[in-house]
Amino acid sequence: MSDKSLEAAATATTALVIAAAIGAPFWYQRRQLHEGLPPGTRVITLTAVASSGHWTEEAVNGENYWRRDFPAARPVLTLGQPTAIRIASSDVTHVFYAPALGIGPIEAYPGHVRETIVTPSKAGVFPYYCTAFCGNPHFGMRGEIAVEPAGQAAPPPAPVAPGTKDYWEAPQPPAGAPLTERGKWIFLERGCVTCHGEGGRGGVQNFNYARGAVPALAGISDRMMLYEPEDVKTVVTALAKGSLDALAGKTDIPHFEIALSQYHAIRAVIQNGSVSAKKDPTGPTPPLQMPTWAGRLSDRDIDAVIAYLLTLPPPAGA
Amino acid sequence: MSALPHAAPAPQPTPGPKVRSGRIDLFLRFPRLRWLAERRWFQFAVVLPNLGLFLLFLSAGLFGTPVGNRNIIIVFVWILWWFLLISALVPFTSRIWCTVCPFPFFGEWAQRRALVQVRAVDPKKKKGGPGVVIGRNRYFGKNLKWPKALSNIWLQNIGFLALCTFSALFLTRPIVSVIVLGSLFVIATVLHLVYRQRTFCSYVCPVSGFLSLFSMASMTEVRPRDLDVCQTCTDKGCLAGSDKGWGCPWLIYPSKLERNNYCGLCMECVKACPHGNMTVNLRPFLSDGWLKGYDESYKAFIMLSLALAYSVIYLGPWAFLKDWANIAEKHDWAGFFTYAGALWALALVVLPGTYYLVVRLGRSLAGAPAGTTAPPTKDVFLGFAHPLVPLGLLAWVAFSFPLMLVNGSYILQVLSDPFGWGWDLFHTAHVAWTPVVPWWTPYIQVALLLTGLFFALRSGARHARRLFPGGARALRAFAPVALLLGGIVAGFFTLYVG
Repeated sequence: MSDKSLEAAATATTALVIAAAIGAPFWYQRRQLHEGLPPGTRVITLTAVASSGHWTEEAVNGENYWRRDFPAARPVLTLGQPTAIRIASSDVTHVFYAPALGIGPIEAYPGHVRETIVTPSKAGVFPYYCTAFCGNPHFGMRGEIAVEPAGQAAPPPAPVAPGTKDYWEAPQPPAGAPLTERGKWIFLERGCVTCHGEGGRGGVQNFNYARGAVPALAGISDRMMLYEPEDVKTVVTALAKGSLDALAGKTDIPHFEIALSQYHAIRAVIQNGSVSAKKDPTGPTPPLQMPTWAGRLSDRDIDAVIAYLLTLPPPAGA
Repeated sequence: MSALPHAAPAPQPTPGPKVRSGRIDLFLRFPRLRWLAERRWFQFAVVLPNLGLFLLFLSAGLFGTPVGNRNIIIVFVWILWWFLLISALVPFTSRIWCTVCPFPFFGEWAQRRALVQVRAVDPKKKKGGPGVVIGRNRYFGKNLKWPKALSNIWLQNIGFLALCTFSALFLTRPIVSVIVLGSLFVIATVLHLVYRQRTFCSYVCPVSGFLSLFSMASMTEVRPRDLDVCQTCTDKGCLAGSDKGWGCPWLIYPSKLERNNYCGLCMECVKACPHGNMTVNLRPFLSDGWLKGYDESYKAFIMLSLALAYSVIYLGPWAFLKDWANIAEKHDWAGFFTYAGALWALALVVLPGTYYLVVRLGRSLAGAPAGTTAPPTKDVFLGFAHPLVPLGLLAWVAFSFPLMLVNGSYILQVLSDPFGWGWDLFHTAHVAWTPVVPWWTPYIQVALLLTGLFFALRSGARHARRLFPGGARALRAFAPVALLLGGIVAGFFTLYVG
């Protein structure tokens, strides 16, 4: 082989190797994505991004993970058409769960991809969730899957619930702020607002939950039989001073023993969590469960949340 | 592409038994190896697959999963490559990594405008034509000389220490690894266009710095077979180049080669030597016995400090130290600066300073016979810094071993799914994370460190006898340094064994 032809062969081989190194993975990815799937199956990839607090349909990779705020996915499936849903995680372990569509719970381990095939049999808009605590944005890590008959446009997505966007970045009140201010901040920053709603009005649907929706928390003053604003103020002041028990025997609040007992019951639920009872005992587990906050919230912080909730007016019609 | 007219036939190896004592001439033992090294396409053939692999790594870092232990760029570069480099390639095959290194590929291509062939120049027609003629080869680009003040490994020392300060970043974030490796490609290419030959590799590449130090311990070397042949040679093709090979790209004079430090095993001298006098020898461990300057001794201090610091941070039980080093996740700037400051202080001040004081103490204890003076402190310092070469190397192997044993299963996972895209090429993508024989790890580490200490003490004793003739003087001179070396090893034992 002459010098020139050897050099030409080396140049061509180099070009080939560079093209193969860069192009081959993408070619193979396109090929394997539909491997083993029935013809016509759509493929949707939902990647969990804990820092954004979303499952996203956008490609999450080494280049964009650190700089992007990924939007929540709102996949639109076609009624009766099989769709392969690939579940991935870009950071920590998540669990994807869309009980109304019979999808999951599917554990998504960091860097692994899991796949399930779903053929929707009913039209509508169905919520999906992350059901593994994956960081502060976890509680907002939800979205909708729309299922439409072929040829029909999907309904517009539900607006983001007020007060829930980037709730984990809510600004902390200054030291020395009233206890209720701190309680309001914790209610936002820890994500209570994502299930119990802005102003604690409740109403977030919880699939196969005996009570249908997550209960409202506004109006717990009624539950504690604190009907007079002065009584609420007295209790909040006592909480700010450090102990409601200290008021026992020293206050003229009517039925104070009931207020005290309710207070301890509410504290216990916040500390220990509670299991959402099933509406249909044979159906799937309701995706939203009250988590335990013991160890994550101090006694003082729990009192702050209760103090904040006491200041909220009961929902209209309650 | 020009070749000299009437090029001479390939030279035959000088006859002989001319093999140096303690050496095995691999070209005489395995003639096929010599045949391979003489092929013009040899280096191209070994670099190209590696280039493809590293481009794949860069692609995975950009477009693959951001999860570090599921992305091939992290697992293959910082776990597998690093382990192989420090534990096998350097100790056994010297700077063979430089033979296959892809970073200078594009720069060298631009500089030579050739991938395989040599641009030889007819000695009678040196003037005119494109590019610049150096020796008997033609090059392109500026071909400036590297500043003399920077013709040492200080830049590599500082660059490597700076890079290692951010190790927690590039060990976990694929994009940071892309920036590090991508920068090496870009800087190498630019420097090849501006400066002569392998200036980047000799003076800038941060990896090259520690390869140069630890290759002294390697069991392989490129050397002239018969020094008499070199002395009578008027051609000097190994330096000036010829129609068979480029003049030494590493800007060293192969026929005077005495240490491995700055030889990149490119085999150009093997090709260019008109007498077939260059060969590859197998030799005993740690055959290169001396350091030449403070820059080299500081490389030894930096490497030992990093091995110690990494053992504390990554293998120790102090989680807050990991958090300090992991600035990207924890955003604890005060902690990070504390960690970085401590690391730099240890590597550049504390360890060298302690060593200097101990060397001075030994020199004083040794004294000087009447009518003589003690050897200069610099000579003693450099002589007694040489033991840090085997100790540092074995300390790095001891640190890297558990990382490999613990994280080895990630290699199988990313082999099947290099981008974290859900592939399973070899049915190993879902192999469970399984540490390999973790209960053996401390024993392996202790054995490695004791081996390092043995070679360190042997090296120190040799230098002591050379610098302080007389057994008792040598003993007094080396005793403080030996105690310090023993103390450092004891420190490693405490970390590894508890």
